[in-house]
Amino acid sequence: MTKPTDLVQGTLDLLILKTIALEPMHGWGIAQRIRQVSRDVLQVNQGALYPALHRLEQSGWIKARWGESDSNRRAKFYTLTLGGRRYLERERANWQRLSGAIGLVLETM
Amino acid sequence: MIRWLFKLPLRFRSLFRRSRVEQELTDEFGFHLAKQIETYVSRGMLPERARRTALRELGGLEQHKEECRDMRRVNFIEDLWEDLCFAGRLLRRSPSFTSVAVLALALGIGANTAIFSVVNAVLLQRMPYENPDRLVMVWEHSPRTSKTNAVNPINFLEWQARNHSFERIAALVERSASLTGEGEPEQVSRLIVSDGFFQILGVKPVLGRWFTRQEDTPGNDNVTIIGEGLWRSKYAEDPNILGRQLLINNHNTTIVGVMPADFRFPFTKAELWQPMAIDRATAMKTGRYLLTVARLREGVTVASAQADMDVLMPQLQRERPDFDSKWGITVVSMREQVIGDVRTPLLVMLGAVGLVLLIACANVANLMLMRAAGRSREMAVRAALGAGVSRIARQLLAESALTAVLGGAIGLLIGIWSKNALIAALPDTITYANLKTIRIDTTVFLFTTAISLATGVLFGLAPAFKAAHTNVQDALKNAEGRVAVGSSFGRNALVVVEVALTMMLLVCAGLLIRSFVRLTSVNPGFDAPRVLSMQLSELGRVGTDQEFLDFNTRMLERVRSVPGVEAAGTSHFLPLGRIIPGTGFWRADQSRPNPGEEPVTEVLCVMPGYFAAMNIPLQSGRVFTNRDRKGAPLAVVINRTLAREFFQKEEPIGKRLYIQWGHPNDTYEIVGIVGDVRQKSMDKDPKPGVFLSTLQEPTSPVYLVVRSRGNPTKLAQTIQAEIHALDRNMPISDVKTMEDYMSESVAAPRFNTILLGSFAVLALVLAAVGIFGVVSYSVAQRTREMGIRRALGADTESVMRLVLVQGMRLTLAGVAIGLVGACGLTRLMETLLFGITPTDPATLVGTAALLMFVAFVASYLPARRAANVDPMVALRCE
Repeated sequence: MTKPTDLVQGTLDLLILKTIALEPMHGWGIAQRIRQVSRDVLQVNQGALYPALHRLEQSGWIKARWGESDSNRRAKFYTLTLGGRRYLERERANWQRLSGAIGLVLETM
Repeated sequence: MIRWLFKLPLRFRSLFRRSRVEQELTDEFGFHLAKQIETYVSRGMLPERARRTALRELGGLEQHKEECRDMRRVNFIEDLWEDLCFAGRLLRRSPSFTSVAVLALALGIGANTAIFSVVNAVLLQRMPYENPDRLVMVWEHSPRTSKTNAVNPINFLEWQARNHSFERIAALVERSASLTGEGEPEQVSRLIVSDGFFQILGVKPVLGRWFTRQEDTPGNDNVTIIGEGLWRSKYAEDPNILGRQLLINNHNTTIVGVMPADFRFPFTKAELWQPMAIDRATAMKTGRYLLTVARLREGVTVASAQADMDVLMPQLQRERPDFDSKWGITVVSMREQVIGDVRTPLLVMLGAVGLVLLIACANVANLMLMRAAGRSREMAVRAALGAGVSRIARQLLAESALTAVLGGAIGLLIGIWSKNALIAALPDTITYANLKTIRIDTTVFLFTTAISLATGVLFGLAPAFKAAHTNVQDALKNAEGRVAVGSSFGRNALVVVEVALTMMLLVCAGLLIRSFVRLTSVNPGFDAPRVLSMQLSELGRVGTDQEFLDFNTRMLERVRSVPGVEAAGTSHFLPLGRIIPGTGFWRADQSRPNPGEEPVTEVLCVMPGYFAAMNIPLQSGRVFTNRDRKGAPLAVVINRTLAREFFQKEEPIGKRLYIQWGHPNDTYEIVGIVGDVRQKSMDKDPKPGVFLSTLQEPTSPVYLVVRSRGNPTKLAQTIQAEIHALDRNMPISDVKTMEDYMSESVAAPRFNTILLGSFAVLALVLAAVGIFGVVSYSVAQRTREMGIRRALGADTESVMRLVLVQGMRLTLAGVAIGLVGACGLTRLMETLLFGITPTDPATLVGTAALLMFVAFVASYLPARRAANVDPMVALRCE
């Protein structure tokens, strides 16, 4: 299982923000989605996921709202805020520049 | 900035809608769990198994929740509040621990704050005058007097005219004043000061002005400056006070200024100042009674001023050989003059409270450690429930902080109270600081509180660090929760230190107590109970000698006629007043000594009845009667010491003396020998003394002494009325019993004794608690061992002995170290002792025994508990 510390710092935040950029999602859904999209490579530990969600909420990047889930249960849905969207763009650009740079280094060596 | 605004409501929500947020957290995890179970079930797992798998996968639910809470940063504030509440509950639940810890801190903080506030005001602060470093006091001295004897007015005038060292020099003398005219007559002290006094000290009046040079001349001196205190109490801060008339000892004077409340001159307690018009023509040619203060010229040191005066004095000796032979001048810096006498006692007190604070801190540290040791299981449970090290540390911090704050608060109360008690007990005139204006020193209070807080926190945190390295499972398994925190060595060392410090304090206190007992059991030479005295300060200032004597005689007749009066007489000084007139004398049948080398005797002029009133025993011969008056042969009564030292085996009665005091060219016949009286103070051995008959030597001031049959204070009103019947305006002051004087004369040693004694008791209690704590803790730790010992056949006695030996070993070590420390410490207080040496063996042994006894009791209680351990229970409890 992937420990949060194994990810590059801030990467989990980036994944969460990207995942809920399309539609509001609850915590369990976010974990499932990241797993599916990454083809089971990235498995997010609940112990890391929920503290991260609460941190992002406190930072104002995401907003929480209680709603009905598909199974008619009450669930806490997270939505990206405007600030969060801008933050995501900035962080994604950073990430791409960084991974591109790493790629360049790895290929030329 | 915008973001911060946005986040604010969220923070508030987290902080103030806590139960809601908490519920949401539970719901969120609940939802997660349900979805996970659902997924597993849909994959074909049995619901029960699915549930278990999901739970296992989720891991420590409570820990995750806690992390989420941590992410909402308000946690800190939230936790702090929670911690404080929890700490409060815990402290309430163990009242004995709490009260001991809080009390230890409070006493340490309170005593230190009070003592230091006073020491600071008296010793450390700058003197409240302009350029105080250049202030000196100038004294006369002779081989027969102290280095700082009062000054003769003519000599003062010569110094003023001829010195090269002082910008200015002023003379002053304190007198009592009775304020009449408006309302009840009031007795206050006034300072009569020569020109320049205020200029030298440089303290500005709050209202009006200083005296001018013109007011320093006879005839122009009917002006007064009053103190702010008097201005408040008598005139309700009347802003138009200047120019008003004030009746002082029946002389009208004009108020020209008001001095600030905290202004005072050392050794005086004046609330009024009046000009001293010294007239060279009429000033006392002989007699020394003035104090002087001078301001050094810029760049002149005390030593060079002394050298200057050393050159001056021989000139004066040549000019007035009869009066100034052998006399010299002493220049002392004002600071040294003032601090010199109080430095030792105050520093001893400061050292003592420092020790008390150390003991208190050691005690709190010990308590914290013991408490922590008993709580390692609690810490483990907290860790298992998801509390991080920092979180546990915070909890413990809250507890220590709460203890320290409580201690500090009570300490402040104790501080204020004991500061007031301290000031009330201090002699009023010891210093330049007006003691009434001393406030609690905030810096000191905060400092001592911080120290105690730091101690509490430091030792309070030990279990948190321990918890960080403790295997949670081991600690949980341990049913008794007795994983030791902090080595027993550390705890033992703390107790040994406590005992050693206590020993030192106890020895100091013991020495003072023994000194005090010796001092108060000294026979003063007169019989104090049932004797009333009062001063007639203005008697003898007006009128002829004959009028003065008539008044005295008639007054005594009236007083003796008052029912309840046994005997009455007068004297021109009272015993135990620290000051006593002296004079040169020699035996008429021996050759005259060189001028200035005459032997010295104390001299008192008394009216008949004095010896009966004071109950000074007559050894042989007779005392004065009304026949020893002018025209009759001059008579003298001598004391035993004079008889012994100057007549040895000879019979003094009938022999004759030359006495310089009154009639230097005539001889006095010795008519009687009376017992010795300690005239100066209880701790000074009697000196040779002579009594002259006032009827032959009219002398003022006049102190009336009355022996009553019952309570002397009941007669005070009647006697004053009798005197006022003779002279309605006669000011009467210092109406006191001789027991008051006795008590005042030992006020300073009594103060030191009580203060140090209470510190020592405090320390003893703290040390006892420390020993009790350590031994009980170790007994609790060794319950199982005790059980095994009992099971293997050890009897109650041997188990008790085991425990007692532990406590007594620590005590012995502490006592030994304390004894060594005490021997070093007590040498500093040698000047405070009377009649015993600083290493008085009885005190040392007695103190050690007392401490050992207390330690024995403190270890006996836990030892009895250990001995009563039921072996079966002790063995089963693991």
